[in-house]
Amino acid sequence: MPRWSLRRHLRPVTSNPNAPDTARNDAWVPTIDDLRVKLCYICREEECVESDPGDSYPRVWVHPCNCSLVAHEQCLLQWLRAAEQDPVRSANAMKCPQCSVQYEFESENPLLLRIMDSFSAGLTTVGRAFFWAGGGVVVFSCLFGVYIGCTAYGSYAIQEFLGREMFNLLLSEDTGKWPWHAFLHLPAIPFSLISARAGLFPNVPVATMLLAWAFSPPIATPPADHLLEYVSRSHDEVPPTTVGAADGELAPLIAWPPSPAMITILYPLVRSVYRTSFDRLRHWVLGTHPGAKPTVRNYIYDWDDGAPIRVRINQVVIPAPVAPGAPGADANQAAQQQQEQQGAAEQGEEDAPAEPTQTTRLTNAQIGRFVAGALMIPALASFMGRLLLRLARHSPLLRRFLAIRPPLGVRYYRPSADFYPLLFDVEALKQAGFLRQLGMGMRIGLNIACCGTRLWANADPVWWRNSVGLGLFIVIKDCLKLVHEYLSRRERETRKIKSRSFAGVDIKELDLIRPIRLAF
Amino acid sequence: MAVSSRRLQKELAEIQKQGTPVGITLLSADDFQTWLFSVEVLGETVYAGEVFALMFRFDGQYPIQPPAVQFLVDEKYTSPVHPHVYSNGHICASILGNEWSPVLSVVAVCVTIQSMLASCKKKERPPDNDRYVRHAPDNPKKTQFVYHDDTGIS
Repeated sequence: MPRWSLRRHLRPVTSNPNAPDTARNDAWVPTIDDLRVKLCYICREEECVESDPGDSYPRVWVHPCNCSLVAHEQCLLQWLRAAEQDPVRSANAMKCPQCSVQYEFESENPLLLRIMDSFSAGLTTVGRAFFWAGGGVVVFSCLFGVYIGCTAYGSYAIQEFLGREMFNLLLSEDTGKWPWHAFLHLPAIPFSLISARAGLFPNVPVATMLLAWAFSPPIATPPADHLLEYVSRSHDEVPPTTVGAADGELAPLIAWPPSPAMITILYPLVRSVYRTSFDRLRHWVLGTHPGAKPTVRNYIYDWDDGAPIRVRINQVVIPAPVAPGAPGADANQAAQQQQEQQGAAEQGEEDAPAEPTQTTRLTNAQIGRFVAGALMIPALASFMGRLLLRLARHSPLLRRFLAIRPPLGVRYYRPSADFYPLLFDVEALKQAGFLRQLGMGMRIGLNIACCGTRLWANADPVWWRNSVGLGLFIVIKDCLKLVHEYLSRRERETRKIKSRSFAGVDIKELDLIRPIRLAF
Repeated sequence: MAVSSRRLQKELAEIQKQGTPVGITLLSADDFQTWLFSVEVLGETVYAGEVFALMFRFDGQYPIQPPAVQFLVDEKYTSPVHPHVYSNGHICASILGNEWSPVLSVVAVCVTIQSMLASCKKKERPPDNDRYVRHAPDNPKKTQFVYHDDTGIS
């Protein structure tokens, strides 16, 4: 599209440039200057050859197209400049409104102007690129910040859950030594914990916090404090390690404590068995019957108590035990959703409609409590694990159950380059026949898949006592909740309204069985 | 005298000399700011017997800028029920926006609007009428219409 400036001028195109030259010579073609009366199609002013042009300054006329329309050059330029402001309009304006011939332009367009124009256009392109790049950088840094935060939390969680020594052997403080999968698994840990608490994918945290690390080759030397710790503890009673430290020896497939892979398989099983039996216990304690739960639940999000921001979510939930109308159903509902409004719960009990709804109010405080609770899990597990370790000092049985071992310290460390040769006898494998090689390879693969790396078979299983501790914590918490539920139910059931005497009421207003004769 | 007034003066003289097309009558043209025409659709039409008033408002930029054109809605006149006419009288027509050209005139706009009404088969409001009327500016030129048809009128 041509650019317009005040210095440019529109010139009439007086002939068809495509016409052969002979036509111009043979036939005389009139131009704008040959018209007797000229009518500007824009301002509708007329100019006659006969009329006196002296009343105003002479004006330039153009005939820019193939039809009979003519205009003042100034009027046409003004119209085109105005239309140029709007890109949608300018497409229509650049041609004749009657015969649709494109206007052609001649203008002073020196090289300097063209250079400046293209320079300006270039700067515009740079500006646009900068805008998108800058926006991209801002968005990317926000996301990267979140990623860094999640990864930092993940490494903290691993340190708590697997223990300091395992953390140093598998990850260490030096992010440069981290295995590649750490950059995927660590940031996933907070999300997996939160989603598990919300009831979605309850088994994922086991994978992100335990299984993912079972096959990760060790990367670092145990730091000096572990050496000292080992030396100081080396005189304690130490249960024999399940696996000999001799090179080339594979870990047995079934071992105590269960390998991470085994735990990953067993966890969902144990969890569902526990949930089912605890539910049964709960119904027994509270005297309720399993039944249908309301299928539609309303979530109301309050920015804070009493604030105007509200979000409603209707969610269909899986039916769970609550008998509508059954005695104590409201207590049951109230227990399942602590936050739920009392009125809504009671309504659900009384109406027993086909599609009862429950209303759950979420506030910022509740969401914060929920998320913080989920993120506390590694620290809690670590705390319970340490508690168990302390208790194990007084009980050999517990010590055996938890399979407490001294830290690996100096006894185990090989740089990562030697890691795979450690697992088996490389020389023996090289000398063996093809079938034997295949068999050994399969056995090694199966071994790693089932037991993880040998590091896991030899190290002090902090993660095992932490898991056991966390399980214990959950059981204790559930029991405490149940007791609380039971007591509040009892309180509600035994609630009576205290009856008072009619002291203070005028006795004459009362219709008594045995009226008292009043002495005046 | 400004260009816009001079041109309007010429258009007015032309109307007074040659008259207006059938169905269109000049109601008032007291100044060069607001003109009023009555528009009637003749022949076989869904608007039989209805007379509408078309209001033109000119700024000093006419004819470089299009006039602001709308149907008058008051106690006497109403806005025609048409898929491109809102109940407040605003008209969604491309010749009043990005297809305006100075070659058009007041009478030409009247004729175009008249034929827009004449081609209407079914009386209905634009789908977004209520929402538009609630937020519409007084001057229809301040609205960025999106023109839907390729007929030029939409």
